[in-house]
Amino acid sequence: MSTQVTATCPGCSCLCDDIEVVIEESEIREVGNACRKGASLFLNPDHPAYDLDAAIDEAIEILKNAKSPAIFGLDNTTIEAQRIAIKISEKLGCMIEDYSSIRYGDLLNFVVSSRIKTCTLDDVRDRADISIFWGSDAMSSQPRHLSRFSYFPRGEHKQKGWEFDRYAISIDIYRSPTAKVCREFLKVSPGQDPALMDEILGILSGKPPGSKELLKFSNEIKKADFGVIFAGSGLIHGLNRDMDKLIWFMEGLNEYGEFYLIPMVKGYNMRGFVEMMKRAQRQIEGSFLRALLDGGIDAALIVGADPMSDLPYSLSKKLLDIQTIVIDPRDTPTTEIADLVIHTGIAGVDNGGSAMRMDGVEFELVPCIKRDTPSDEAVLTRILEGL
Amino acid sequence: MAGISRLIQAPEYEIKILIISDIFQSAESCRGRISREYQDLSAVVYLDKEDMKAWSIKDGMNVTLFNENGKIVVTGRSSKEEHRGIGLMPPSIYSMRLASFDETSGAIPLMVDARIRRGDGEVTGIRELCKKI
Ligand code: SF4
Repeated sequence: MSTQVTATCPGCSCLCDDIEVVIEESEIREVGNACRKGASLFLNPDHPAYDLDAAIDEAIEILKNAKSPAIFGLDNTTIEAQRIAIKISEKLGCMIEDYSSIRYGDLLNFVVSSRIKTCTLDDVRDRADISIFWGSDAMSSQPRHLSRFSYFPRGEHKQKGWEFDRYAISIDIYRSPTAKVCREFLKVSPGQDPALMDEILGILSGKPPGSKELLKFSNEIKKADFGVIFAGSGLIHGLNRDMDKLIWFMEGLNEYGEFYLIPMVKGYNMRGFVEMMKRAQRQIEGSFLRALLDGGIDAALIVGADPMSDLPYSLSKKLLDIQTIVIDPRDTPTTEIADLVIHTGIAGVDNGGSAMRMDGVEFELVPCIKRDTPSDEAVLTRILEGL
Repeated sequence: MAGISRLIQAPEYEIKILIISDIFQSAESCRGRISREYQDLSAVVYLDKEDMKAWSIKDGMNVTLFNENGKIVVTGRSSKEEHRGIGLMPPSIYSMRLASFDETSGAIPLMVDARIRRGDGEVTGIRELCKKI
């Protein structure tokens, strides 16, 4: 006999909560509504059983014996696990960091502290006239973003959808899959994003445009009552991490309509980590990458991350010299090199918890099948207790 | 001998590597296994058609990419888009072998300068890249 449940997907920071999962004999047989990425995640097989008690004891031992441990990753785990990881860092008096400042500079801190105006994806679906994908490629990283929120759907005040009611543009250094779907594509040379911002605000204030495309885009901005910039790491690189320029540009746009920014974060719960650090009144102290490079870390607890695939080799090779513990549902190049791997379940599939979508809206992740694999939260709680 | 083998090596060209997300590769990574498919989708550089012609690289041919950070052998694939002088690679242990760390900003640049040449043996295995050199 099969049953069908509706689940929330932790495949990316869209946290789609309309995933139809068909379960037969305690196994997921079919996944509906999910994109390719989401479906792969739900159809993940379980890991072979291992001695969890021994693994947790070993993790505690490594962390206790370390002189300068650090905790890293955490963008792909639940809010509950993030809170416990923050407590572990307090207990050990050690550094804790995710990828937010590595990938987006100060952007997320500026958004959560309201220095940059933001809105929810539901507001976008219901009200947005213009969606600007700047240095972000939703079609590759958050594949259902355009169909659920930013371009194609009918919204409360956007009944005619993308055909008549919405304008979407991609600004990027290459024609990405998102650029192919959007109505317009503006190619920007690497590092020329600040100059493009100057030009756009210049045209809006009456200066002659440098191209027809820019004139058209500026006219769309003028027509819009509600616009959103979906900012990716490409924009942050293009701005050379200059957040003042971004704030200046947002203020400039807001003279013509309501303009907001949503960071297109990579990990499904990166926004959650930044919020949890703020709530715990903690700031990122130091830099995990610099400490790794300088030999300032002798043990790393890595949760839900694969630094061997995300960091340049000059940094990731340092993980081979120190004690590395990885807590992750997946096998990755980092689990290959780790001294200790603790395989956990996937939140929303095997385990429960909660997470924050890219816009800061919290979602519950309810497990859809029953497996014995422990959650990140359960493993981290036991480590904290053992310390 | 080293001099002779260097002489018979295929010519090298300058290339910029742009690290970009690829839905097929990230979906494969979501499966949570270091599978052959994941390796095939990671050990790849998408090249501009005109560049491929100019550099005598055929679709599916192995190519060597290298710079001061490291060297990898990956599959060269023809891109559907025009991007002269730029090769597109998904984020993975392969592209990270060429990437550098900007110590001043603490960022990892998305664009990397490298050189490319035809051939040089088999595609580098993921597990080989996990070892320390
Ligand atoms: S868009 Fe993201 S959250 Fe939605 S189904 Fe795809 S991977 Fe999952």
